[in-house]
Amino acid sequence: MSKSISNQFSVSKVASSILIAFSAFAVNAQDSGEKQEDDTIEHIQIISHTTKLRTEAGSATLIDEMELEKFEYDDIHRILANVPGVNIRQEDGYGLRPNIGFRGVTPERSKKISIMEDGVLIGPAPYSAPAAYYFPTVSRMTAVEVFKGPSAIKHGPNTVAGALNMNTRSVPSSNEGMIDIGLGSDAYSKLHAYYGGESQGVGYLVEGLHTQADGFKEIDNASMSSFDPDSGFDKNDLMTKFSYEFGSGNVSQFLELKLAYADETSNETYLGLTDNDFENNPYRRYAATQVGLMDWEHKQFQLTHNISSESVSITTRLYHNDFTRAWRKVNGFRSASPATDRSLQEVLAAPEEGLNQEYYQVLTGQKDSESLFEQLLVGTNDRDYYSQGVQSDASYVISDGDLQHVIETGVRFHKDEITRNHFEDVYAMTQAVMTRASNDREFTSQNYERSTATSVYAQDTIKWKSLEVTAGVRGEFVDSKYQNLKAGFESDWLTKTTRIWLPGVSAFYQLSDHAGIFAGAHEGYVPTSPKQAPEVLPESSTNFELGGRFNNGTTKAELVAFFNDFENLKESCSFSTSASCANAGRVDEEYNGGQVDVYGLEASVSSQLSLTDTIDIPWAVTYTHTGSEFKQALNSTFELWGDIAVGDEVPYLPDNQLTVSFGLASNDWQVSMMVKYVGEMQEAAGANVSLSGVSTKAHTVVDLAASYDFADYGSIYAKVDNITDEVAVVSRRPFGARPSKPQQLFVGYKYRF
Amino acid sequence: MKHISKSTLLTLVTTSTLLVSGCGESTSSSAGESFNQGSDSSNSGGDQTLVFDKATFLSDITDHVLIPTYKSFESLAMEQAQAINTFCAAQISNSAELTAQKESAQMSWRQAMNQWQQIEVMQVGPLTSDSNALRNKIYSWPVTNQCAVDQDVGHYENGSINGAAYDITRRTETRKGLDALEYLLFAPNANHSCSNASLAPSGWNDRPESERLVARCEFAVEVANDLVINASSLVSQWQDGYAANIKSAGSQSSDFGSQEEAINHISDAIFYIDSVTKDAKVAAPVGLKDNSCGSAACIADIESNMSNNALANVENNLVGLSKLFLGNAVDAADEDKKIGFDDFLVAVDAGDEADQMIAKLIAAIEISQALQAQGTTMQDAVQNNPQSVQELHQNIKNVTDELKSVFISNLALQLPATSAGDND
Repeated sequence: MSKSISNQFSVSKVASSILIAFSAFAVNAQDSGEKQEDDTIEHIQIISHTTKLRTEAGSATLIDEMELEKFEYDDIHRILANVPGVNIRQEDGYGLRPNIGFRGVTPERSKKISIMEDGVLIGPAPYSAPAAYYFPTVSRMTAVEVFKGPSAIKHGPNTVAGALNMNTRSVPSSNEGMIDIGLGSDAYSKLHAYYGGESQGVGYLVEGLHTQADGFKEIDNASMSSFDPDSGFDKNDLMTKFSYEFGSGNVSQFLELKLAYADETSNETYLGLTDNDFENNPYRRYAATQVGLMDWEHKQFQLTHNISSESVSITTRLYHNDFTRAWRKVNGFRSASPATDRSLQEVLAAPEEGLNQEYYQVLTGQKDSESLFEQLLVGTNDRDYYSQGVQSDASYVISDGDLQHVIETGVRFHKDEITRNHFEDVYAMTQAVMTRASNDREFTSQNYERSTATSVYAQDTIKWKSLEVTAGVRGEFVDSKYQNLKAGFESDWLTKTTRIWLPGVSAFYQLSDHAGIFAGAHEGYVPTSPKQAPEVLPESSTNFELGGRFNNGTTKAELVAFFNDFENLKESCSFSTSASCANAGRVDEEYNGGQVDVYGLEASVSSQLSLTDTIDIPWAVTYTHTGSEFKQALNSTFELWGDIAVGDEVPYLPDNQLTVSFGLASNDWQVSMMVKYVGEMQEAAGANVSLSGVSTKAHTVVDLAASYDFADYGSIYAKVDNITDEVAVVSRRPFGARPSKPQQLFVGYKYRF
Repeated sequence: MKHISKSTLLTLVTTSTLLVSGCGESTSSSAGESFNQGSDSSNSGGDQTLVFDKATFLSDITDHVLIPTYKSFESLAMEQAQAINTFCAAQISNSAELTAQKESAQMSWRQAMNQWQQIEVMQVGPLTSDSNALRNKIYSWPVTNQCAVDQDVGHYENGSINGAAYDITRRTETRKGLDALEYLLFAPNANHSCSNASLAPSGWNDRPESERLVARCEFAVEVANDLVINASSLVSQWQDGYAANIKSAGSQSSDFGSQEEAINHISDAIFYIDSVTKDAKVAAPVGLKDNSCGSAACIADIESNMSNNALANVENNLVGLSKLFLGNAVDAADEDKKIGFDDFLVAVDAGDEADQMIAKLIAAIEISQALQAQGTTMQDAVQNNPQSVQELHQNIKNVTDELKSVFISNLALQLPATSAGDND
């Protein structure tokens, strides 16, 4: 392929059109000058880096590498603070297993959003078991993209809320590398490095990242136990890419192989604190949590091919992900009698009430396990997953005078599976140390769930003068199987075939070069897992949005009102929501919540002021208001719901969230501050569950970051997360109150070559 | 750029519009026979149950089984309080009648306990609300704490806790109820049961035995009186509203959305016989299930260990089940028999299954009675004749297997989650 063609239809152009949608239109519609600009950006990206007004309907937010580096965050929760319409339930403080929802859907394990890495579904088993126990390490990402609204229909299977795409580092166009060394509070350390280059169309990249910390919580009597004495983690990521660009005539092609490996061990638990103990020391962990250990390993293979001409772009991806995990943690007490059994959530919610005192004393190590009911069940949820498939996306541009079409279509053949091998061991609390009470091991769940899915979408964006109208449809055709693998349960199986079409339509009207208004509607859908009986309905909704956008090159603003009309809100039982259903053997059982309305307003504005000739003041404000209500009464045993009356609100959905960021930026230094306010959140929707009427309080967290660039000698950075050392209960799930991350200081040195 | 005609454009727009309007979801499935423990509605006798008068069933169970059993317990609790009061007076005065009065108090406890054991399989409504608080105030086994009872003997004797007047109604369930009374009436000596002397009332074991026994019996009087209040509360809650609530299931005035929901609430209570009677009371002590001794025979896990009432407890659990199943009767020929679950089965053409259930129930009751007639205690049997306990277990299992089968297949009832799988 000639160099001129390579420049004109570069890898970034190629990649920008991948997975497609409006980005393909945006790129194709731009002049060659912008194409050159795009050439310098990351490869596998959906949203273009244009500085002009984006004309797609639907909320789409891009956080680029520069923005990501500003605060050097490892935690996706903090990164998404600048994205409107995101609701989050924090858990471990480090964001190891995020809980992210968009526009009011449950944030539990991010299971209702489509999570992608480089445009490919990255959840362990997105159809069969969508809970994101694997989440890519965001420290190695170069961009994060969030899609909500009608554009979600291109990123299934979950279209109710939206999609989150993270872009890994692309193969650099010339030899370059970087090393980043960071140290921080609680023995935090980071070593991040990459090197890559390209010559005559052949490129490569090697990237490694190691992070570790001792954790900011202290485990009672851990040093006397046989388990790790700290509450920290240890993570490794390794990624290699090989790329090849070639072509002839006006056709360019791009081939890229990505191989990646990641692992993590973290001494994490689901057990938090009582409110009283939280008041005394929010960073305490009870003796029963000594056993906590998450251990996972992830392997990834991805082969990407793109072929592009002036009007057509086709990208094909072949992918395979393996994920294996085992999480050992205290699940609860041995069952003795229905009248006296208590979940950990019940014990911690009211430790002084009734029999709970007996259990609380054992959890905290004040009392030894003497009777059967005082023995603790420590579950290891051992699971193996794979997710594989091939997907092809194409865009085709046709013009007729003032009329232009961008036709986008895609097909994906996907298969994923989860195999569960859960078991429980019995432990006794002995002198405040967790010890095995017997060698018996009970296998609680042994089964697999498998899904084979074919997805298609087709969309036409018609542009005529100042008006753009987009109409499209997504089809999901899923064949699934559940099989119990326990001996004697061979006939416990279920096969299902589900077919659904999900339409979406949107329009954008450009008022001027800098402003436009848009509206859209689309069908939302979340499939049921293979194990769920056909009577359990998939989640379905009709989603509307109306908004306006402004971008004059300096100031960007977007205001979107949305209304999600759920015909059936769905939830599922997991240990992370609370154990009462899980302990009763109903893990992964799904619940119908019926009709629910979620509505809100998302606003964001960002700009930059010039203080002097060399110093700017960049600033941004992001605000989200969300309201919700159940439209029908419901008596549910699901811990997040309970007995719901008409008008009750959806839990973990703050009415108001506000993030203000501002700073000073010069050529060689910058200082940034981010202030995030999160309103009160209900921990349960209705009555008669252990957290009924309980809320997390509104809280504000302030992060400060600064960096100085020594040019040829690298740069240094320092940051303080939670500079005011605000202590807040971020949630009382899975069991008991959990703290936000305390004040932590980090310093680092980064050298690029 | 390629030229397109207006007609092409129209086609595209029209197609898109059709696609938008043509959405829909369809699901088809097939399942193995054990999927969801075979609870698929197609396997159940759902429609057949319509011929059964569920309103009368609920009314009869309420008026002829539940409330009479609760009332009977209330009476026995009152008698027990009187007997313990008399015994304590004898203890204080060191009367010559002390031994006889103590035996009388112990006997009154056994009678109350036996009646309560029937109620254990009738934990419905007020006994299940607020995390079974009322049930646990009356009887919290298997969560018991003899050291905690010792502590409250001391607190009651002092009249205060941390400066506040002692109030038994505010104390943890393990410090009162029938389980506390058993300890206070049957403990072999006056020493405390705490693992560490610092947990017991100060200097307890050094005090004169008579003083300690008086302190214990005075607290026993307080516990017995509290028990009467709770027993009366149970009866009054039923009479003052809950009976009407369950009888009117399915109407606007009821908390139960349907009669089936109310019946399922009662059947949930019945499955106590599976997870507690069969597993916790029989299988665990004899080592058929994991226990606190590590699967070996385990005396510590036997219910009512001090009073040696364990076998009577099991028998009365089965009797309680019989009353619910047969309608206030332990035999189908009983002339006082009212409508029960057996009639429900007959109504759905499962009379044979009802007969089998009755036969298995009678067999299990007879085994437990035979063991008691031999003068055997559960402790003796577990240690010296484990085969007899295993036989009892097998007979109870015959009952629970039948229950699981008929309740799912014939009555379209849902099993409680703890009994849904095979716990054996």
